[in-house]
Amino acid sequence: MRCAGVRRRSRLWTLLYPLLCSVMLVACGGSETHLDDEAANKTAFDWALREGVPLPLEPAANPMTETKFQLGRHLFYDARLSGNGTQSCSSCHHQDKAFTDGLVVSVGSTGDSHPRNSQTLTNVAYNATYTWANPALITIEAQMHTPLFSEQPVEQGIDDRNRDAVLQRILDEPRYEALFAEAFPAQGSPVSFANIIDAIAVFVRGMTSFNAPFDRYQLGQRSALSASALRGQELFFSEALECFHCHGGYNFSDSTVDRTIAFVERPFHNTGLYNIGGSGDFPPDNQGVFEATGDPSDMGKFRAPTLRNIALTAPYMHDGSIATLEAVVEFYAAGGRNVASGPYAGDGRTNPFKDSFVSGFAITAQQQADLIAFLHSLTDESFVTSPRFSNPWE
Amino acid sequence: MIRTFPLCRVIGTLLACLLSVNGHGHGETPTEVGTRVSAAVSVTWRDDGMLLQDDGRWLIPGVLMGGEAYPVDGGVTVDEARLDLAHRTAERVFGRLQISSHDGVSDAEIHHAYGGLQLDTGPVLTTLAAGRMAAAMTPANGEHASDRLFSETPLPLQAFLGSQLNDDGARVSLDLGAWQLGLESWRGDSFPAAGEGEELNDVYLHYRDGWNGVPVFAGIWWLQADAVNRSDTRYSADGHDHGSVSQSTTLPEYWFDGRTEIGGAFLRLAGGHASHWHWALEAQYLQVSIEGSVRDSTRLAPWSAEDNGGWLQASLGRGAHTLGLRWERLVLENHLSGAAAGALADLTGLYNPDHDPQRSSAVYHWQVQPGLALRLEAVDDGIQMESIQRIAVGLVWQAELL
Repeated sequence: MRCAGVRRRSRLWTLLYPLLCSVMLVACGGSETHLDDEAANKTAFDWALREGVPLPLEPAANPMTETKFQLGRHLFYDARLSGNGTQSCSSCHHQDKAFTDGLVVSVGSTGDSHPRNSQTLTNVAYNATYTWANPALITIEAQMHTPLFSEQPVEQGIDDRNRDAVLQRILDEPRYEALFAEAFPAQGSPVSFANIIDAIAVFVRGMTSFNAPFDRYQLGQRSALSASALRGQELFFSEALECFHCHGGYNFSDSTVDRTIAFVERPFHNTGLYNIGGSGDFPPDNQGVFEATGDPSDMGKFRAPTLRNIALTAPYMHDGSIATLEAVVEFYAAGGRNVASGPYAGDGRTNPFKDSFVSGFAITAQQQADLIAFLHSLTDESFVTSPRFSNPWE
Repeated sequence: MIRTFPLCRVIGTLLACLLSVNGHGHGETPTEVGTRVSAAVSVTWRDDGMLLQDDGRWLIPGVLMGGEAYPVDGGVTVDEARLDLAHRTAERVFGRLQISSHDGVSDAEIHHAYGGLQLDTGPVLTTLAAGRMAAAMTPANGEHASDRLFSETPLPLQAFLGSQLNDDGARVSLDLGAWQLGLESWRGDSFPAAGEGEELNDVYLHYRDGWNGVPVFAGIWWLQADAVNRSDTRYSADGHDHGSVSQSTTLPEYWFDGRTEIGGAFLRLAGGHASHWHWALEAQYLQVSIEGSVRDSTRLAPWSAEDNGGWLQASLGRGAHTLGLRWERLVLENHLSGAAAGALADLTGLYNPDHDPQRSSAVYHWQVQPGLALRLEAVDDGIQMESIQRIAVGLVWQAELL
């Protein structure tokens, strides 16, 4: 009996011992989280981002430097950087309008009307694509060839006939000698269109805007948003209104890329602005991604722009055809636009290529006011007044 | 006699509920010939609930939550309501159907729906069962608020098994004397597999015997789960709901792909005399190894984890009155890499600021009548960085209807 008892005690300890050791392990504690970003968040540039916003991509061929940023700022505001010396980048991108121009469509240096509305440069470093509807245009450097050199329509109007003269104007400006030398110290003759493009791209890429009341609220300043804006925020992020599906994330656009992103999405949306003749068509000079792909299902698809500083960037839509934020909300509430007469007549609400999220919703006058109050809370006053982004020639 | 007989039944019921060592436990195979219908309800009032995120989600810092790991809320909640039908023939064919709601979820679901048989194969008794059932690797997995001494689900089960591993599958168990070897293979729809689950299997070895008159129930187990596209679906039926918890913020969507391996051990002891003093001890330990990646619609981060957790529980009672203590703790070590490591650690709740989630609870349990118990609890909840305390008053009703 005694032996049996010892055997039983021994069997019990066989079970108990590892369990007690394990419990001791738990009791010792030691939770920790190891994060290894593999140097992805390394940067030499002051991006002025708020907490929670990842760094944008930085092209290996054109790293961000403060000297290039300052050179680019001078070039951005310099009308000498156009064929006839009358127009700079800033002609269509005014700082006080969050770098848009307030026009329905922009006008080039020779008077050509652009078919599209000038886009904000707010946080363009995060754009997954550039311009309104070009899936192939994925860097600012590549995009800049269009405003500088395009012929249809002419924007800054630099071409083979005037490019040497344009460069000479730059060379003749005394300030540029030092600015180019500091920005491109390894080059003997740094004044070139390649370097001009790189410098302006660095300046534009460095235009970050994350100091709106919305951001301050996100960082814990509860008084940053009014009661109306908070109600509007709830509406904005509700499934009833669907706004956030295309205008979500820290940059309020689903066409966003940053250093943390592994699967880059480059979405475009048909919002039902037009439906010419009921066939889904858009006006012939402005058909969205279809112009690039020729795919009928891409008819009328455009990139969802950031809503940051949206209150400053009227008029709205790719063709500037909606004048106010109130009208934009009414447009989405209706699930599109019915053009009753004229060459573009057709009911956009039934456009066969319309995005499923533009399905319409009921909204009261108070809710509309709340939603617009929230959109106003995305205005970053420091962005539109910052000397860092202002005209250095004034 | 008139007084002591019901008291013995009361204590017998109590010990059965606490230990589930008598073969009639909540998650076990019917052992008696005939039909048995039972019901149970556990309802609890709490002065406060668990701490939630700003968006309304309940996260344990450092854990990729999922399954049915719901927090307890303040106010009155029905922790569990169940109706259980079990039948067994003389030919050792059995079946079981149970409908229940638990963890404060209002919707009832089919919790158990399985059938099986036992085969006398020489010295070994072989039991085959198939259908929907709770995994049997540890008895704690099959228990709910009306079975346990405490109303709240043990923290390690919440963290590592999504409260409970309950799935469609098959079990083969071999009984030889005090030992039972079990093999279970699941469809893989449940946490920690879930999503488009590839595989979910477990194996266990249980020992159930007496030691100097003390019932002993001990075991070790191991589980492996592969997951593809596993999301946290706790707050939406289809995994795509941005507003059900809080309308002011959208709920993040993210997925896990990879393998989870869990090793566990447990020990339950009980003793004393029915009409006098009685006591019970329980220790459970889980060690978790995870290898895979977390991602949202655009970002991905390789993730590995070496976690462990466990709890110790002791109770001492006299007659219908029992006092109990429980201490639970998790130790969580996560490794995330890649450009999105920080962002996804924050988004998924995997970031743990060197904090060991833990909870200490005390309970007074009074078996007022054979089918009715009163439960008073005090909880020191240190699951989040900020520790909170709550008290709870609950009733547990259990009845054999047939």
